Amino acid sequence: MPAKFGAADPAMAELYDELRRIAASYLRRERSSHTLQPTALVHEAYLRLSSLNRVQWADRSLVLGLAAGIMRRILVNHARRKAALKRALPPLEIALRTAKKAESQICDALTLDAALRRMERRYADPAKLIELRFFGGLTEEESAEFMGLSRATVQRHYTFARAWLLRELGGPAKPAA
Amino acid sequence: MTPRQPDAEDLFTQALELPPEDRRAFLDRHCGNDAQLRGEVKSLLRWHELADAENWEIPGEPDKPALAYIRARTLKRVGPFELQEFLGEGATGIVYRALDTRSGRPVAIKIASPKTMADHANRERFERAAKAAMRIENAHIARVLETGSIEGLSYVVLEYIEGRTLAEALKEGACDRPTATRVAWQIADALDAAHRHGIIHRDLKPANIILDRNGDVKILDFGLCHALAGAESIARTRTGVALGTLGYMAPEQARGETPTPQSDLFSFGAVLYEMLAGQPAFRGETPVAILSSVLHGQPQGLGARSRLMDLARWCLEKDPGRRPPSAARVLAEIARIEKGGTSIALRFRYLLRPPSRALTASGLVLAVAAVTPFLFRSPPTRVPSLTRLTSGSGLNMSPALSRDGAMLAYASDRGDEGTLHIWVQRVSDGQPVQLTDGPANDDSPSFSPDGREIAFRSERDGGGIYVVQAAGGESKRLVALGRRPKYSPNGRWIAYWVGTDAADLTQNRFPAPGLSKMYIIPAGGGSPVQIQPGFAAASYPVWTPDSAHLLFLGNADSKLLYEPADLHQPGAASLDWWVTPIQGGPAIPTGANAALHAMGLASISQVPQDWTSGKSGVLMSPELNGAQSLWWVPVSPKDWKVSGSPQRLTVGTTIDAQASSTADERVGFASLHASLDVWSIPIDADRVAVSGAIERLTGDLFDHSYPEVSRDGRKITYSSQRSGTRELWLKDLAGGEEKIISVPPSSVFASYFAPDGSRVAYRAIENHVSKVRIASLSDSAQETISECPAAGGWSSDGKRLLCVGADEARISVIELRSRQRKPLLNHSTWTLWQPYFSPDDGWVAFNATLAGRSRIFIAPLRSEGLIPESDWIAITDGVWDDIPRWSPDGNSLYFMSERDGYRCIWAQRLDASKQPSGTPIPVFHAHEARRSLLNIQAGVVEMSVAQDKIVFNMSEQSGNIWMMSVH
Repeated sequence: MPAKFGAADPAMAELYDELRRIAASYLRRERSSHTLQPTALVHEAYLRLSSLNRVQWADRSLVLGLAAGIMRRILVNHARRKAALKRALPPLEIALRTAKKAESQICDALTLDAALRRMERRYADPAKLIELRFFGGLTEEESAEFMGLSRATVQRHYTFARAWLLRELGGPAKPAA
Repeated sequence: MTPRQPDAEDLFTQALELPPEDRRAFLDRHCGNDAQLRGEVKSLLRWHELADAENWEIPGEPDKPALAYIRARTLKRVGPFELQEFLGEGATGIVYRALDTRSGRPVAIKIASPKTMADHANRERFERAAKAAMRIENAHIARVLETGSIEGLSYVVLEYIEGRTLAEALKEGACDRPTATRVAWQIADALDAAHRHGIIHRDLKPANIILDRNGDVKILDFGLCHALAGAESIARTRTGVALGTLGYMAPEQARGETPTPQSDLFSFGAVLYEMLAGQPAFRGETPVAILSSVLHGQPQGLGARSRLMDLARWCLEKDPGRRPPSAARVLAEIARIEKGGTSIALRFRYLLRPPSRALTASGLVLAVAAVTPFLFRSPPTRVPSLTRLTSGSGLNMSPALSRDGAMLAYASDRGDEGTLHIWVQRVSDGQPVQLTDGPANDDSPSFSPDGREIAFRSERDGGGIYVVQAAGGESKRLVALGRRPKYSPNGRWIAYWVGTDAADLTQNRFPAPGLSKMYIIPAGGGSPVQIQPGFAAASYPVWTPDSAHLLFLGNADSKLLYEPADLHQPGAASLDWWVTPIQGGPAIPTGANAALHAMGLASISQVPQDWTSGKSGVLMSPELNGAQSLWWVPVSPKDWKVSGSPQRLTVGTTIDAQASSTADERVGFASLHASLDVWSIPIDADRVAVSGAIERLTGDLFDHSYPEVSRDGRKITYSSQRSGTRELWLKDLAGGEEKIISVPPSSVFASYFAPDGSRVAYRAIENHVSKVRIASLSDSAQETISECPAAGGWSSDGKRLLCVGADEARISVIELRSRQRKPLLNHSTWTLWQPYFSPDDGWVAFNATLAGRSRIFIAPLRSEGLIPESDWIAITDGVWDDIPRWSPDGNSLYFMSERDGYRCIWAQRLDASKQPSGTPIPVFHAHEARRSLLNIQAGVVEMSVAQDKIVFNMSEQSGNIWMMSVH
């Protein structure tokens, strides 16, 4: 984690409000849409903030990176809340995809969050990378910039995290031993 | 430094660099006898091979153009252009003043938004049009200097013109005649040059016309608009920008037809009219009203009748064929007028014109026009009529027209504010009659073909489909759970669907696997038959005219995921409008998804609404840039395939949805609108006793958020974007005066009155730094508390203020004179916010948001240090409790809660030791269909308590039913 992450920009509070606001409206509007695209929300929030307030966010990867964490929290909160309310609503689901086979592995936000928490305990950087990419839509380059790592290192983390996550989330089929 | 023990990731990474056959030995070497580590790495390597073989990816790569666009916003440079000043942003892109570093010349650069560019065809058109525009050499067209693209961003470089827009000039009133003539001439000259190159402007309006420092015209955006979907530039919501554009658009453009040079001449006429009359030719308070005026109204005969005004009116003919034949002709007319000569054409036309009936009902104008000889000269054109069928500020929605178009049924809350019931009225005389009653919402009516019965969805008894006689009587339950019933054209069946969602204003629904099923049931009652049970999801059935098929929104593949992004993949063929025979047999995909995708309309709102029989097709209202308009998609009755491009039927900035068509192709639809206002409820706040009805404290076209009330209940503040930026307004409730108390250029959010009402602390964001400002109401002095990113409540003496820290989880208190800040509350995982001092300053109330729950706590203040969590008292245990506010005596806490499934205002009494006493008391229930605290986006909800009232914000939805003819 780079030093700048700790020195949080005060405008993050506004970013959080905006993200919560957008997420809330998004989740209400599409109550039966069961799969959400968090990256779209993060970018929408970013665009709206910069156009509404004429704010020129200086450091995009910082903002998007922080937004990724916020978005994760929002989505997980949302999923928990729905679960707590016991409303007959579908859980928020999240998809891992394969380009080769027309198949996706679906898990709900809570399962992914729990898996990420387990990963964080032992492999903090790969877990952070997944958060950035999945919840924030950061590119490899931006992730590297945000985490203060080289692109090669980020690639290695990604390869590792992908294998780890596929295993933890059950995967499409067990690989042959 | 000793090397750290390699962990599983290190070994995994290193092993991957080895040939597979060497990995085992490598692990043996490095894991030693740590079997657990070895097992972990081995298992991960196996999963890695699988992931590689099958190409598994963790999604999250956003689309590149969007990222590039974001990058452009933060970039200081694009190619050789140094971006210097942000000039504006439209629906299609952002515009900067820039320096061309190659020549040192100032230019304007327009960077197209990814939305515009996402579509390949759109991008090609944009680039082609920009290139064509480069060829036009005319003194009155802002020149396109070059076009290009960098990192997937398309941009256009224009000459930079100093001056002001005609729109700004017109704010000062009408132009004098010589100016109007000169400007009109130059515009016409520019149009003439462009039309000769085959380029149509499409969006000519005062805001696109710049008067340079010599007062000469330069028209912006020439040719570029051509690349954009007709109404995209007007589909801007909320900002009010769109209202300006609608009034200059030719009627044929408003109807979604392809613009011609004559469309530009109409816009020219509207501009000329405004220069002469000093006010727009077509006005209205709502987009639909403006549109109706453009389509049917005549501009008022303002000012002295002049030949120039006659020319404007000629250009404003509704029928393009009756306008001047070319811009060259307009130039000739202006030249004649200038010379004092007589224009035969103008005289001739206006002698034959019917008397100006500017404000008569549109139908009458058409009737009169029909007897003039003019219509017989050119082929008669059927002009669609647009008629409003309901009125009032309530919620009127879900229209159903009877087959013969004589009767209208719809859902309205006019009889019982808050609950939707079915109403019916004759289209001709419009006296509404209430058909249903009771505490549950009734919605989605459908007429039987003979017009005698109405089927509808009701939420009563768990929800289901009911039938009632159109003439009145008891409603009978037909079947449980069903939604959106539709009678078959032969009257034998009712089709409906069953799904998991509750009523939604816009009926945006999305067919997720397993969530919806479709049925038909005999209209007289009987057993439902499921249609296409093999579909993963089937919803929103619409009958074809033969009563033997249903068109529906279906998802054939239980594995395919439906993210909005999936809709933009043409390959997602399993999601489509499908047509199925009701007697069984395979369903046929119509290809609608691909057609909508080609138009940029594929979205979550692609619900089919009704079939139009004469010209075979389906009505829908897709979302485009935040607004929804009615569109019509042609579907062939021969093969059930989409047989042409979707066509736009309405244009507006709100929501036009829920279409219902008649046998003679008239269409009823609901035009819906939502607003956010500040409301108050009278209360004896210490006794928790409500003493009257709610009252609206603000109300105009804009949203009003973050309301706060002074302790004496006499003044309120709120944040509003009325003036363009988000500013803090102060309103005196007795006198009604309003003024801005924040300082530009900050963007203002929540605010808090000092206990004596003399000052207001507010959160302002300026240059992406959040800070607190304190405005004095007596002398307009402003003080900046940059130590605090966001404020909470004040201490009773007005000397201390609560702060919500940058890291969100920390609440502190700041001594305003010394600026000393002391931390009060912190939590490692919970987000703490909304802190408020108790009236005696002994306690702080706040809410803590913890995964999925928001809970209210109070904590006793101590002289030093953080208040330990063990001292906190939990006031609520609800699933979502928010915004705690003390009663003036400090013996109760008010808060918002979603404990009953809605967001409502509640209060909790406290005993002497500040422990909750008794159960929460409901103060204000917002369970209505029309007014709700739930539709407000979460960051904006706010509440404030005075002795005699509670002030809060609430969204209100309104809507009316309109009718138009389609073709």
